[in-house]
Amino acid sequence: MYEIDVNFGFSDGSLEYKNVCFSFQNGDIINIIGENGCGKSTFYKMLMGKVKPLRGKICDNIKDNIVVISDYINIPKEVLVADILNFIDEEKIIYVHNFFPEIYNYIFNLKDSKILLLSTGERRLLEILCALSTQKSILVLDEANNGLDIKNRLLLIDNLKKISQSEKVTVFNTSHYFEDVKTLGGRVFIMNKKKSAFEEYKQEFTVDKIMKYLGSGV
Amino acid sequence: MILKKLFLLELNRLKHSYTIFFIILLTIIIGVLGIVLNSIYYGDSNPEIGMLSVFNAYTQFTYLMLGFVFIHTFVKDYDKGITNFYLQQGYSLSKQTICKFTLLCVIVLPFIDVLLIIANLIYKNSDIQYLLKLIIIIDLSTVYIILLAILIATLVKKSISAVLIFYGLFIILNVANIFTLGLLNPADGNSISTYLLSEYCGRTIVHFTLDHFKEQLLKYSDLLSIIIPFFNCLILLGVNTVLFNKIKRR
Repeated sequence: MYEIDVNFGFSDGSLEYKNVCFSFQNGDIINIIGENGCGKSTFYKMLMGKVKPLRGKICDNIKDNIVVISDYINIPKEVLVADILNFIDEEKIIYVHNFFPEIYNYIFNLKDSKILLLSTGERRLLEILCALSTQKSILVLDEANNGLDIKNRLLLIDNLKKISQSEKVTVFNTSHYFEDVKTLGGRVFIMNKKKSAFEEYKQEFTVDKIMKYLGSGV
Repeated sequence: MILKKLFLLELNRLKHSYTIFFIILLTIIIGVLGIVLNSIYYGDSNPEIGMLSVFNAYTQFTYLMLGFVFIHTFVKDYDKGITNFYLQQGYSLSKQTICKFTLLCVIVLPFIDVLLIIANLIYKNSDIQYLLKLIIIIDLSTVYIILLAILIATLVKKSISAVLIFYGLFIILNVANIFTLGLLNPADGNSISTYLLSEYCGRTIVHFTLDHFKEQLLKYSDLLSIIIPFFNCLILLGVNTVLFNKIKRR
């Protein structure tokens, strides 16, 4: 069981979410939705320990067990895919190969390509493979499905469900594709910048209802 | 070998980004510059003065030319979020830095040393002790530049700002060297090592503060010209260690 009880926001004081308090367990799927600039990445950076909460603190068992896939975490692009696969420990690669064979095979077929020349989606899948290889218990996808085609988005969702159920990995997911959020399932939290509110959405999840709830084009 | 995989990946990065190529090219250019500048300013001077010109080129131009490669190697990873990738893969910031520092030293230092030996053959210098002294001081000065690049990159973390500060500091330290006995920056024409080596070759240079202690300094010329850059490196190493420990505790 992990507990969060903090205030967080931007250090310049322009936005603060007060009394953000919730708990989650291993294997939970938590979707965090909100418009651009509402502080989703700040929330994840806080979980990583890179940004300090304005009140309270993040437990070490969260900070030490989190792996994030996001635009602010990048693999070196100068090298070949094979160089990255060689960089990861053998037993971790075997783990990915056994548990996520589709992702592994997709990336393995690109092994002779330079990462710089991969498409955004291919690069994202490589980042996902690297993140999965760490076998950490909290996986954060901060708009990680950006750039993925529909086939790979569905592949990602399948694997996220699998990892949360069989490996009991907690998945935090942020996406602007509400259909993907719905397909993935799990709990939904909404960050409302205008109201400075971070709250769990417990009503029926439909795209229309979410849009209505947010009152903006997220 | 815990860092073997990181070491290999970093080596591949340097290779694929042509950084190794640029390091080799710039190192050769600096050596040639030293020889060309010597023939322009001193013509058929004695071997010691010829080697002193090469020495001056390697201390000052290494900062100006190779310094960019050094600081870019460290700061771009902060800027692009690659340090975060390594952190997630279990490599601490200090491990990443040690790895890059070692790689740069292993590539640059032996190559500079070889070029110095070639320059020595060109000038037909037979004073091996003098050559060894030059090699040691240039190596220390290069290590100093790399350590300074690490410090600025880690503090600033943004490419353009870090590069500007790096070069701004070169000017500030060089001016400060004039007033502080040449103790602050070994990669400079006003450093104590350059002053003492120039005296050794009989090519006296005027120094605002060092001239006052000339007699005493010359008594310990060999020791001081090496030990000061060594301490410069040691101090920077200490500051970097404190900084990384502070980051780790955060």
